[in-house]
Amino acid sequence: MGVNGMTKGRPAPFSGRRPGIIRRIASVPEVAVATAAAMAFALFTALDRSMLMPVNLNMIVTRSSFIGFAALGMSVLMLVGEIDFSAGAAATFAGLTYSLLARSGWSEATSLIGALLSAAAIGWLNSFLVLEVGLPSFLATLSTYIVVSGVMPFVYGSPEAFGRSSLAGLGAPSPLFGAPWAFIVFLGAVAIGEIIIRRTRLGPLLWSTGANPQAAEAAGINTAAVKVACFMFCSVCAAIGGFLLIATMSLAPAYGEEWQVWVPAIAIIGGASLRGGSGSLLCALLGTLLLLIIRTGLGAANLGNNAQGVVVGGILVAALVVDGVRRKAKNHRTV
Amino acid sequence: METPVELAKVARGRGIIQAWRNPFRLQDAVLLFVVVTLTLFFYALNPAMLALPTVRSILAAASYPALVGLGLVMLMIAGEIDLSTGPVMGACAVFAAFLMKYAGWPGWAGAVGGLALALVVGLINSLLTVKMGAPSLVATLAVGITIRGASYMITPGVPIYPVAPEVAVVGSWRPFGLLFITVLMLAGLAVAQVVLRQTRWGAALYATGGNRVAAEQCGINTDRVKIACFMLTSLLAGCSGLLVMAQLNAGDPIIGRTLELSIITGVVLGGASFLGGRGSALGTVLGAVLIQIIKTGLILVHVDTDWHVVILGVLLATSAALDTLGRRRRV
Repeated sequence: MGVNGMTKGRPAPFSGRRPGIIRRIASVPEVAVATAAAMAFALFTALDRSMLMPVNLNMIVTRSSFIGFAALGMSVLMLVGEIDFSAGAAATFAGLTYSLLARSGWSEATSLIGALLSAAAIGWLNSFLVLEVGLPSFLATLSTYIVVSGVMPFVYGSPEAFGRSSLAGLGAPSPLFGAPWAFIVFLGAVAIGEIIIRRTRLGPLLWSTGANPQAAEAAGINTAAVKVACFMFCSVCAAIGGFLLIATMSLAPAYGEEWQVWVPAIAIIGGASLRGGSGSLLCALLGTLLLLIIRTGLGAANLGNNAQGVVVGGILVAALVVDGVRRKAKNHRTV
Repeated sequence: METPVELAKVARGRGIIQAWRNPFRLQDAVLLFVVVTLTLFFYALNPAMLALPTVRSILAAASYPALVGLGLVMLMIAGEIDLSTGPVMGACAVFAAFLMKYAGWPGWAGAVGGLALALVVGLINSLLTVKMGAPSLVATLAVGITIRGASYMITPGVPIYPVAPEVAVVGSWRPFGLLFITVLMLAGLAVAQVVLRQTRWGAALYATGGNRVAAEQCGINTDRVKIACFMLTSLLAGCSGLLVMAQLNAGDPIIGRTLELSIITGVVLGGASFLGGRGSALGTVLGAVLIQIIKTGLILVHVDTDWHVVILGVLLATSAALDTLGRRRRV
């Protein structure tokens, strides 16, 4: 078998030329999601002008601040290759802990901290089930969700409204085009998170733990500790998201079940892969906006909740296909 | 069955007699023991547990998830998972009813249409997982969300009613005094048990799930194995959904809602592992029956329905935990 036989007649895949500027821009996941969001917005505006009404825009921006915060935490967790279906339970649990503590006379700040700690405890429980017991992460977090949301009504009773707290001020419009302060908080968190991940050692720490845990361990990274921290971070972000929701909507609806599916969906659409090692916070932001544009657009066009399921599910499938195609293209380059 | 020597024997086509010597595994016997014990436990708390109508209802209700579980266990043995079984049940029922009512198709043609939809969904699941490399969890979840939304969209508010009269006839069949689905499930159980333990196809399944790379080296086309498993699971889910529709005489998208969790729990209780390479058909059916016994028993003992989901969730987590902990020690 000569040299020619080994190449199987295909030209060498590495051509030595940089791919064109268009292809390089298109390969950035943020661009893809931002483009999709812009296109969706244009589409819905074309279908029904009411999309441009301030109340709808306000709804998009407000809702994205709390569900986006939870997606933030989820993106980080997916960076290390795990998923969390208990986000909604952590948020509700934290909310109930806060009202319990506040009713018992603790100061507001300490009640908040206590609530966030309780959410971190749920995150720790998730990590324990995954790392010590060895359950796959979706099952571990799903069980946590079922148990926590099943037990909560008996232990805690019903949640209390937060109207009295200073958090309610977060719903007020800020100087930024009148978007609520909660959105500013969200944007700030995304900005800070992106800076931390891209500029400090934390970024490569997370990426390597997710993309190749064995190599990370060999390099001296304590992958178990990283994963525990990420699980706790995800639950705390979900809890913060829950507080933002209560602050902006000034009521405490049961948001567990909805979040269970939408939050990981946003993270995946935003480029996170369940195999770990990819995803970014900016993508979480853009993915959240995309999802909410779709939901609000479908609502404005009176297409109802079920259309949302189809559209979001379809986008998720499309995102998976795109991810698969991109991965295949990457594998074909032998350099 | 899963030891390399036994697998090799079956793969070579010889050793069928040796494999026949022990058709029931110890694990299935333990499961049977648990089923009996739990039934007696609930009977002690409420004698209605062993009343004939109760037993029949348990068997009937367990047949639907058991049938789907027979396909799902093969998929889990091969190392993948399918969360779209519930939505597929509803979507096939709705689609078949839609064809019968609005397109005027006769009963059997509507059923074929529903099953064809199931096969298409299974194909999509498999292509996303095998060809696109998406994790099966996410892929099937996404597909499930999409078709659930779609089936609710086709039936705005009201289930499609009534369906063709032949459907009600099927719903009233009572071969051997059992529901049609139960007979189908028992036949499927026999076929699956034989396939998994005695044939090369079964050995290929265990190999694919146990060590995919090694299976590929042995010449097993793991892609094709997984595609077939996905399509079989969806097909059985569609079957199950159509038979629910036959009982309800309406195409209701709520069919199969929240059932995918019960199906998976039954399969895992029956010995399947999320890491692949384990599972049995008999265990799956016993697991589905066990779940139904627990559900019925909890109702008879007047446990609050809110607790049912919690108990089942804990059960699923515990059995999966026992499986993963046990596997670790063996390594």
